Amino acid sequence: MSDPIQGPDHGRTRAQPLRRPLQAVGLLTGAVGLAALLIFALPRMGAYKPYGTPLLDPRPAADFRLTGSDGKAYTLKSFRGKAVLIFFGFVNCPDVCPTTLAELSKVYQALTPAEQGRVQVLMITADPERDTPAVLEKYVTFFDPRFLGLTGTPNQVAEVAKGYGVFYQKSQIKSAREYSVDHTASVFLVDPRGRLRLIYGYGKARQTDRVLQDLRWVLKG
Amino acid sequence: MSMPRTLIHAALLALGLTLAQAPVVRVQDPYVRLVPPTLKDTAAYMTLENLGTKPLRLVGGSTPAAAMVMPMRGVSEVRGGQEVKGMRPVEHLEIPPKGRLVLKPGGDHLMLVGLKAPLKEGQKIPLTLRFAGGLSQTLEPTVQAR
Repeated sequence: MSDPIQGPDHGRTRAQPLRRPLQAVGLLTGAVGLAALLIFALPRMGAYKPYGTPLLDPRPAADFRLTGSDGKAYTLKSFRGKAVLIFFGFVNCPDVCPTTLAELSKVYQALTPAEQGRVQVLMITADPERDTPAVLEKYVTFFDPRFLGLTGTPNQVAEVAKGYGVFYQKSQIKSAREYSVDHTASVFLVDPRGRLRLIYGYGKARQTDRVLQDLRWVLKG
Repeated sequence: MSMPRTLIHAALLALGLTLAQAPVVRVQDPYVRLVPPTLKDTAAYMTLENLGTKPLRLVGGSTPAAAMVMPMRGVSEVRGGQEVKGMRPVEHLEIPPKGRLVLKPGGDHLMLVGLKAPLKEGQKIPLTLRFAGGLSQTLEPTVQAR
């Protein structure tokens, strides 16, 4: 490598005296910029930006006492140590519920077996009058044998729905046993410590990889 | 003189019939949702394209697999900052001229009410779509778990 004879060096040498104040300003600006980068940007580069909508203040997720599709009694504490995906739906639902459960099934199946042991998918019924544990069992296990349905008395279900800001009402009522149910179609992600962390609006769980990343982030603590 | 005119009339009539029979609707990616075997209802999804210059109304249909085929409108509203979803039966779903109607999960769809037997993945189901004005079209969507 030979020294450059002409070029920027020449120019700089001659211009130095004139440019000094400018250089000082430039250096100062650079230093301020670097400091700003160190203070603001760097710590955030490591911070994970979740795909689901985060709660401004992660709070303990509403607890419940319900009956599982396996016939056992469950509270939210039963799942401590696991990340829990909660969806409110109902069995006689041919459109929205199978869509969401199929999406959650894809997410669940993309987890490693070890991770699967630390994740529980729950469908809490919005139709406690028709959805008995046995009816729920046949429905949820179709999407994955490890999915769990939860039901209870209409009052118990109303209370847990309120705790998650979930709304449901009967529609197209034809008879006491024939109707549809409008319901909040969000999916709630509760972390292993029982805190409600992320909410997915209807259809968001379609992005399998992004929900998977969120789950892994929540599992890390 | 009269012979060629009759021929021309016959040709025009044939052309007219052909045009009347030319497909006005193009259906893309039709499928029927695989549901748990205990369910008596499911949904059919597809994209319908109206190739004509007049609005088309999908009023329903029929299939040997179910008792009824009902057009459903997907409805939603926001309650407490979250989306509440439901569906309502409608008289018809409209496809604008040169436009499309997308039947998709969580949106407008055809509900297959009263399944006669549990569906199997990959099974082909004949499905006849009925449009206002007597037009109909038969498809054979597959049952899919998606």
